[in-house]
Amino acid sequence: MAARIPEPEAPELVARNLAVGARLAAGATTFAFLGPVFAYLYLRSLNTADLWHPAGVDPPLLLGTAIVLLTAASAVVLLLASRRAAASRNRLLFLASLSFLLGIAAVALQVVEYFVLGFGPTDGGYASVFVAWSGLTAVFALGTMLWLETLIAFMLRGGERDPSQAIGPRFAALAFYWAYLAGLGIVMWVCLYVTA
Amino acid sequence: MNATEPSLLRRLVGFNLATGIVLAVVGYILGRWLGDQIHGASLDYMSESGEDDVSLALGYFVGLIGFLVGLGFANYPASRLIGRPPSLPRPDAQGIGRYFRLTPDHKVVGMQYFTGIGVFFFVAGLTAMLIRTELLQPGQNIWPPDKYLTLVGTHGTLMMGMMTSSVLGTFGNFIAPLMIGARRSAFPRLESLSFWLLMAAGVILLTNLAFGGFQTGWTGYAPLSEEGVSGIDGYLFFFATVGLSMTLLGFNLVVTIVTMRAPELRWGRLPIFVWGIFTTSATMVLAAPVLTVAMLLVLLDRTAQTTFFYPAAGGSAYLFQNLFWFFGHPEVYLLMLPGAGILLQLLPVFSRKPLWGYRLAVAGMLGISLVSFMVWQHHLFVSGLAADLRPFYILSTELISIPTGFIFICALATIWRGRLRLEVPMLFCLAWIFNFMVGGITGIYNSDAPSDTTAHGSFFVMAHFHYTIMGGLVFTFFAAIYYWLPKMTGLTLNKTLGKVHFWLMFIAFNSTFFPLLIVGFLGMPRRIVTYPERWEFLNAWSSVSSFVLGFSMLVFLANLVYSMFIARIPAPANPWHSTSAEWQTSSPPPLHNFDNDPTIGDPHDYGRAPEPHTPGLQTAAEGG
Repeated sequence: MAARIPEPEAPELVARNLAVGARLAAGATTFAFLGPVFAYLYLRSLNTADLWHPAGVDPPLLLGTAIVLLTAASAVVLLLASRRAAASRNRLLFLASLSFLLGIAAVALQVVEYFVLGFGPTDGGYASVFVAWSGLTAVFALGTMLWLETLIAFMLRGGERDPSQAIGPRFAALAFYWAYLAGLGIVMWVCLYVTA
Repeated sequence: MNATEPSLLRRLVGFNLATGIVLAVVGYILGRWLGDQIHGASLDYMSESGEDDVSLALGYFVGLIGFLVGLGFANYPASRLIGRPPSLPRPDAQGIGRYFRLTPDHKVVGMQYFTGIGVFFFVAGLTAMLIRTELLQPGQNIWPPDKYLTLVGTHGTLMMGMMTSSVLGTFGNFIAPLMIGARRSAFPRLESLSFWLLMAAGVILLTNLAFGGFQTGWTGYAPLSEEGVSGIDGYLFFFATVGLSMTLLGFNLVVTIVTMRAPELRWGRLPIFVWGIFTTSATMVLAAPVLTVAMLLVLLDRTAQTTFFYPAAGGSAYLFQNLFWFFGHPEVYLLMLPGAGILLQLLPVFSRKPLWGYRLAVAGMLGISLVSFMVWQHHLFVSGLAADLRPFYILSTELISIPTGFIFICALATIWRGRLRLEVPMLFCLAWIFNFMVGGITGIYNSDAPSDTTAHGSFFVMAHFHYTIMGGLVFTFFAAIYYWLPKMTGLTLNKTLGKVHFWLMFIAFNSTFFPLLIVGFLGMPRRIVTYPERWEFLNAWSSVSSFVLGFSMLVFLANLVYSMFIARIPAPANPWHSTSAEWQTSSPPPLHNFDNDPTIGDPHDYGRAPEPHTPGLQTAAEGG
């Protein structure tokens, strides 16, 4: 008997896979960030050799705040976009592109921040946690923006007109994950910039 | 050759393993070169090795990327970035070539896992033989201490990293979708990626031998891992990659089980094996990222000169122990839970009785999964853990014996007054009950801080661990192989050789590790190349037994080769008279899994209705 190729997945199944996958990915991401969070709490409470946070090791608050605001704004815009996915193609494309630009700007600012930090990874526990935590966030943010770029590029080719492609659920899953990541970014900002 | 089939040259230079290996080598060289360019300004105050860790780490990283690109994993993301529509990967043609590339077929991935993990299992087993050869007699015999420690570390790391994915990768991928009536998995590319990441990780670990090895054991504690030679980088990269592989493996399986079940298959009717896969996968998705990040933090210490685990610069070596065991203790249950799933799935089949206490068994699995995140600090009882915290971790560790007890009760009550069929898979399942009982009872002494203070770091802990993991996981893994390989290959395994394999393995396993419980109790520390003469007899006994244990694996290998390549006796359609869905399709299953939608009934409903073939139960292993 000739091998029968599996039929394409139904849009409802794609939607469920994406919704469950996005939530599970959020859980896995949370646990990935447990490493730097635990290091933050542990090293801060130990303050080994009084080297947790030596004088002069202070991140630029303004830049850090700008990064987290850009990330949050990008996430909010994408949430709005996903809620209007079915309404207007142009509006969806505009909001998604805006979200993408804001997210990429946040990642770019993070890179800029490393060049103007004024301290390096060797400068005690806080400095190490700062580099690892913010770096991990930037990597996850960049990955999420690449995911968003695929959807924008797909729309620019008019692919969303094919109802089997379930563009709405794709945006919904991405928006959920990006909003969750932005929330983790706010936690990072509070820990590394406000209460450090 | 078929006219539409690509030429041999086209197949060789396409996206496949050969291309992956070539690009991995190119990537490795490129990464090392890049590392050499940027390393100049870094500080070497921790690593006295004279090796360039930045260069080596980048070599591994770029090499891994090259390997994946060569296998074709960059094609789909690249096409999506330029706006091409989402699509399912195109299924491969039938043939041997599909086993050497990215494949969307969960059954092919299952077979890839079986073969790939099998190779590393034998390599790790060989290192165990070498360790026991050294310990045949007191004194330093074959290996100098650093080489001996590297052998111990390589054995433990390979076994832990690879065998965690053994059941999930092989049977979770192959069998679970069939059991739930699905025609594919939810994220086929991620499923395939998890396998190839694992294989790349295994090779990376073995390269440690070229860079001075690693002397930390499988736990890789700081400050040894901070100060060790460059072989440590291979260890760190191995576990970081394995953590990523495990996350993807668990992720795909959880989503598949949640969303792709046949409509009538409610949670309350899910086969217990699928529950085992589900709870393991969910735990894996949460625990494995912690491992990956912990390893990356050590790599950052060794390359970017962060100070996470370096006390003189504001870090703490205990931080690593916490991060490692936050993954490491759930890891123990990642190894145990799939075995429990296999056990409870197979016992009703061979007892011809319904599974006793289905809900209790599910509760046990969920309970183990949950509590496994709350016990990690019992590994730090002798590492300066605050005394006030000890009672909590003693209690939580002992608490986990309750859901584990649920599984024991369900297993024992299922076989109680059953019509037992002592087929090869059943023998392995029964062995689990004995082995895991010994492992569980000896575990109590490690969960209790006062007794753990004397047992910690001894052969007692090592033997206990082998009773739980080898006795618990590896025995059920073999049960699953004998049970499901006829489904996966359509061929029958030789029954006589299977029984010889079982009895040799069961006796030799206990004969190897029970004496080690005793020498550990007498105070023999692990990871030491020699020991006092008074422990020679027990060590020699254990070593000789371990050689028999190794021989039993050769019997299995011989059975595999004989049955699969020489005898090739076709397997009956439903050799064990199972009621679960995977036996409602042909063996091996077609690309689309089922010609007709499977009938979903009670997956453990045995012995209630008359069974026409029960008196002379047809076996899948009757070639002997």
